[in-house]
Amino acid sequence: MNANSSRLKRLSLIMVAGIILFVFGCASAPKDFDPKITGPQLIADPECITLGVANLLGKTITFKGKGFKPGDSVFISLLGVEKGGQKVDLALADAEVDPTGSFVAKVPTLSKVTELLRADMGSNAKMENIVIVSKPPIPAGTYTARAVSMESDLKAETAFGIKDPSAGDAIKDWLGGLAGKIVKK
Amino acid sequence: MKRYFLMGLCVLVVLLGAAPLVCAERGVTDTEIRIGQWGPQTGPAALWGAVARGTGCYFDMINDEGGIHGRKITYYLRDDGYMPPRTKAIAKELLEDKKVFAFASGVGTAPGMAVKKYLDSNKVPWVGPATGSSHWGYPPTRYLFADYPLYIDEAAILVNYAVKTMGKKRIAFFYQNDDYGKEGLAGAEYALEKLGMKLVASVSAEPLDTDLSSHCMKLKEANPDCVLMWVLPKHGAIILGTAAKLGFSPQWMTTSTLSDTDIMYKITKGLFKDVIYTSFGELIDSPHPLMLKYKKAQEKFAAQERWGIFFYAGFLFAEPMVEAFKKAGRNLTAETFVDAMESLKDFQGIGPKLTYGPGKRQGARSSFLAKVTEGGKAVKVSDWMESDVDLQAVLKKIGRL
Repeated sequence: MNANSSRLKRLSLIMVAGIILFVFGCASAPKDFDPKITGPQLIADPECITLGVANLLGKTITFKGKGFKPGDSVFISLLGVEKGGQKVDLALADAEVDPTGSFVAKVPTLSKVTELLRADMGSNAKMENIVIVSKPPIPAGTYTARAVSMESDLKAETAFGIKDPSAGDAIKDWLGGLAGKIVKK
Repeated sequence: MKRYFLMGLCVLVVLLGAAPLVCAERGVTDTEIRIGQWGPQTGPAALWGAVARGTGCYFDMINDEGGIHGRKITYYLRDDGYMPPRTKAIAKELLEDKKVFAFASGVGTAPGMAVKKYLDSNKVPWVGPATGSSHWGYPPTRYLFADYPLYIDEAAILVNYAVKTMGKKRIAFFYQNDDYGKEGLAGAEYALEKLGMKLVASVSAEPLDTDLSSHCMKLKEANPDCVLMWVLPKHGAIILGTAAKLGFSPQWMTTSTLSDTDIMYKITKGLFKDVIYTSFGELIDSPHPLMLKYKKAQEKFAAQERWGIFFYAGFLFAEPMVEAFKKAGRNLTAETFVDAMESLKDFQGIGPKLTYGPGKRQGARSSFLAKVTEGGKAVKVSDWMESDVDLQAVLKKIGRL
């Protein structure tokens, strides 16, 4: 009885986790810098995103770095992304390095729309901002994000996961379509 | 003895052979000068990306005429989509992989600011950023030369025209709440103060605002007879549409940013008619000999392009660069180029007169005014007018110096 009950409990937990993942996509606890590393480091927050239009636009994506040259400037690229039959690097965010050698680079809305969703920003008849989706987004996968320094040779990398839209994303985008904010062509 | 002579000869030959490598200037060879430019070819700012293609057409024309001192220009255009992270990646790629000698133009203040320090610290000449921000020339940096009139000057010139020529007495200002809008606002306030006047209203909009009803109401309540707008084309269209619905019809004036009158007329459904704007370059149908020559170049090298202000602005912003190549002669280095740029006095192509000098990097301080007519055409309503703004005072006031 006890064994059965604990097996049932475990199964229920797995099912709940599965449902959460299915509905909400990926979720992960924010990673922190490794105190043992003295050189340049990069972390992504969150480490994984899903490609729902509404979800992505509402989500703050940042890349944080430390161990860079103070006063320098950096940009963050996703490496080896498939685009038009070629592998290209996508520059997603940029930042200035502060006096402690750290930076926080936020992915701007325009980068989310054009680089990740491969969509366009436009206006409707009322001149309201809308997202026009006419092509598939960036292929899902685990990419390497690299912080490249402008003035020095310092670089740092981290993994960045991109997943297809979850069921929850699909519902949100359907509602966005009804409201005329997301237009699929 | 003969052996020593031969060895010495060999050493000399090796040294002489290596000399061009040692002395070689990045991006300059016996036959080539490499130039780069970023510009939005896709995305919401793609309209302005015509500047970068215009520069390409200009260089095609220069090459077709034989180049400059035996060198042809190799031009690298990259689409940054108006996204500073991409601009940074492009600047690094073009400088470190393609080894460009210099950058021409480049649309947008934010993209340009993202790479300004990097280009300067690598001693890369950069001529003609395609925005009227004061950041390019103030404070001056050695390798960066601005030739777009300042937004501060444009606003002051418009205010002076409104008050002194048109007799307007109540001026209001509608602007985008960022550096671009605030520099225009500062120029308007400065000019009015000199005339013993003040703005009757100043109303700002955020770039993502789409409903401008309350903004328009605030402007209307101040009862201005003239409103200057310093916004994106989209906001220009919205505010004109909203004002028309509210029966609010002051004299509208605007910056060169909205000077593609053909497009503005279309997106405002004709409401752009009678708007007075500042122009940094000859009008589209100007009989100026250089305009006729450039139009022919467009027909020959870029027939698919629309002959619009932002396309030929690509010629305009790069004109002083080509002039400096001519002046620098065969011995083209970053330093001889800077010397040649600094020697330009009252140089004029299809844009304003340009004067540079040691420590003087904002070459243009003048604009002319034009008025939009039926169908989105325009007519000149003034000659080139020099700004009388004390820039140090204005920049200090807005916390830039």
